[in-house]
Amino acid sequence: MRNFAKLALDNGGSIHPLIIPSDLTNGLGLMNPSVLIEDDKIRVILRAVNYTFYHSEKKLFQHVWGPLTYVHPEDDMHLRTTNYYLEFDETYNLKRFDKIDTSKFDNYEPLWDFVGLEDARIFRWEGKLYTSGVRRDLDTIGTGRMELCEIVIDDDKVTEVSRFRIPPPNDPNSYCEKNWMPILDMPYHYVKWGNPTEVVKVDPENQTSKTTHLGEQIDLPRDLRGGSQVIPIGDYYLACTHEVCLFDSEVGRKDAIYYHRFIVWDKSWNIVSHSNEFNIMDGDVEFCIGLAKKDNNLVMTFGFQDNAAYILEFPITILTEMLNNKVDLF
Amino acid sequence: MNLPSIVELNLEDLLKNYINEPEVYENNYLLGFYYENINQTAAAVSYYLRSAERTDNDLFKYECLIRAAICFTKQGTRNFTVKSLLLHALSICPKRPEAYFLMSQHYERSSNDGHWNDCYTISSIGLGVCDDLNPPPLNSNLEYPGEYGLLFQKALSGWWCGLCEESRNGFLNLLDNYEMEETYKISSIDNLKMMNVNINQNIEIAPFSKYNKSKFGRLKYKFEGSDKIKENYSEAYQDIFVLTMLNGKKDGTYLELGAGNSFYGSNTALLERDFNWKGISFDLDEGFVDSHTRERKNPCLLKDGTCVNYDALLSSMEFPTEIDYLQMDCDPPNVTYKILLTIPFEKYKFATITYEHDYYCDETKSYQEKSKKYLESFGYVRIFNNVSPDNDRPYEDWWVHPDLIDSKMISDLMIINDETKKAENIFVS
Repeated sequence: MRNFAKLALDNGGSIHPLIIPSDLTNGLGLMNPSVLIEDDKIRVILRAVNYTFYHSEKKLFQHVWGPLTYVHPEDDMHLRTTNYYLEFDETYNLKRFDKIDTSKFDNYEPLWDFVGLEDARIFRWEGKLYTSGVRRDLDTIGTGRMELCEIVIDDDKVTEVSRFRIPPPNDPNSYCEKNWMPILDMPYHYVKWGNPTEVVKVDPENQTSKTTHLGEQIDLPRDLRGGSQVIPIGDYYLACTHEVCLFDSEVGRKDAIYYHRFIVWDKSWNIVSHSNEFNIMDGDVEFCIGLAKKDNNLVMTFGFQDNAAYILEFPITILTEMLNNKVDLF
Repeated sequence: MNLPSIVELNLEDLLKNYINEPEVYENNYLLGFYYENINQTAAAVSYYLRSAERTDNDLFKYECLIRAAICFTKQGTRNFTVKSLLLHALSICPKRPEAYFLMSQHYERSSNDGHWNDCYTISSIGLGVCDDLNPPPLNSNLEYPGEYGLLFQKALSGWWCGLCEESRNGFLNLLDNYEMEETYKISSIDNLKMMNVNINQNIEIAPFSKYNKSKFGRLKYKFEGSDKIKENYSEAYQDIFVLTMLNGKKDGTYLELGAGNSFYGSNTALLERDFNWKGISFDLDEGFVDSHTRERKNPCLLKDGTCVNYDALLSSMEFPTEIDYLQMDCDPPNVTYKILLTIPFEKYKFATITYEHDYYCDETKSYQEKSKKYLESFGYVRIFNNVSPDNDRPYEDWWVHPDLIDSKMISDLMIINDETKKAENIFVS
């Protein structure tokens, strides 16, 4: 399916752009948002970058550097991320936006090209609001580690007050850990990898992590990489994962297509159902890192071509139609 | 395609149309157009590229690629990408002039070795190969002014390529034979003056709206000595502004960055000649500096304003820490802003500042706001914004320091709103 959004809209769903004033960002990429719905508040983390993603999907007008490239300032080779906290009311009217103040911890000179906390999911564990994403700027080779960051929302500012750089549970030398999916109702637990499903528990106090579950591999065409948060729904857990098809063009230049897939686990972390792969809005590069339940609907947040961000709301019923095994998500 | 006005468009509706038919090029284009109009240029690029790749109409491809190039130009420091997109556009429609013009402007702005040769070559090719140098417009404004735009680029770059006679003739041809926008006219005349050409005085350009004695009765804010002024020199009443705020102060002081001509358009000539002000000026243009040296009492130095240690300079010249006027006009706007950041505001206070942000032609539309935030951080109060020499070129904001200017004067005169303010209308009824 190339266009999940059409299915959503055809079934009564709605789509809403996520935008903050361009004078904050110089009009550059707003991407990969995450969402958490609490009472009447829709909380969103929106990633702002200093680059523009250039993708010649049909390869007709490729950049001099290939069909897929990140156009950063020519006097700054870094790909920088800053994160904004946005708050909407139930009908998606933007009520506030604040750049998250990370100055307490960003007191070092970044050492690698990718700077900042990337693809931060938002969630609440034990009453504290967290963002969690990957940071790769602490060494000269781009080692990626998930970080768990508590944020505090005041009337006039949003501040990061703690930061835990999570060590990998098994291989301390692994190169890049990213896209771990926080499990909303299991504090300090993530689904680290989709297939086979690996659940990890992290311990900020002792600065450790360990694998608490490693499931059986099921038959799917590509790796199941992390995407949204893992949300409890009915007697199950649900997440939207992503898959990457990386390839070189005929002249050897990097290109990629991303796919997404809904995954349903039972409470023992067995994958009991999944959808077919899909694209969200007909783009080759899209990325969903936010999923939330809103009454009988689901709310998905996603980045489109790394340059735009959207919220898509749709009835849970269309998801049940997409799954290969019928499960009751109500 | 009939492009609707941006005010008729609604982003959520455009998204729904797109989602309904994402392969339809118009749906992609309209999303790009909307995002570009709200300065979300990254998002605009994605949709323009998608649109260009989903149409069989070469003109439409051409327009989408140019719009994407314009988006990257607005973002700044993406020159390879701008060039890459313009080249794609040229390859699709090599006989349309817009991409040649934008490419020549791109080279003009570049700092690479040989960029003037590139600018000259591409404008020459455009002039040579295009079927129609004033073709019917496309859906959107591609910032191409018409045939004279390419001729202007060729004349301008020709000078720096050493083709001086051709360049002079090019500008004269433009002034004699083309109806040009005011900015092109003025720039052509300025270039000819720099080349020491006596231009035909019959050329009809909208002259500066200058102040002269005949307007004294209509001068809204009379100040000491205003009755004796025969004429002013500023392009947009900057000198009258300064004298108004300081009630015709004698023996004042100024720092002038981007001096321009010694009298024509000068913001300090009246202050020096009629009010005996002392000051120092800078300019990068040898011709301007020479004319100052010949015709003015106060010095004008041939220096890159970005490389001056202003603290050391002002100290060495024993300037007071309260200076009456700071003039900043160092084109392009990013350079003026860069220099602004080097002014030692923590040590020196300026009673008045005229700051040229060139909002009307600032592709990033950012330097007015940046300079505002910066000057406000030092306590300056903006008294007039969007000041223009005419009705449609908001290019300066004017500032005062509340410690040095009477507060009633500030509150009585201040006009801050979104309107473009023709300078003459501020001072003359």
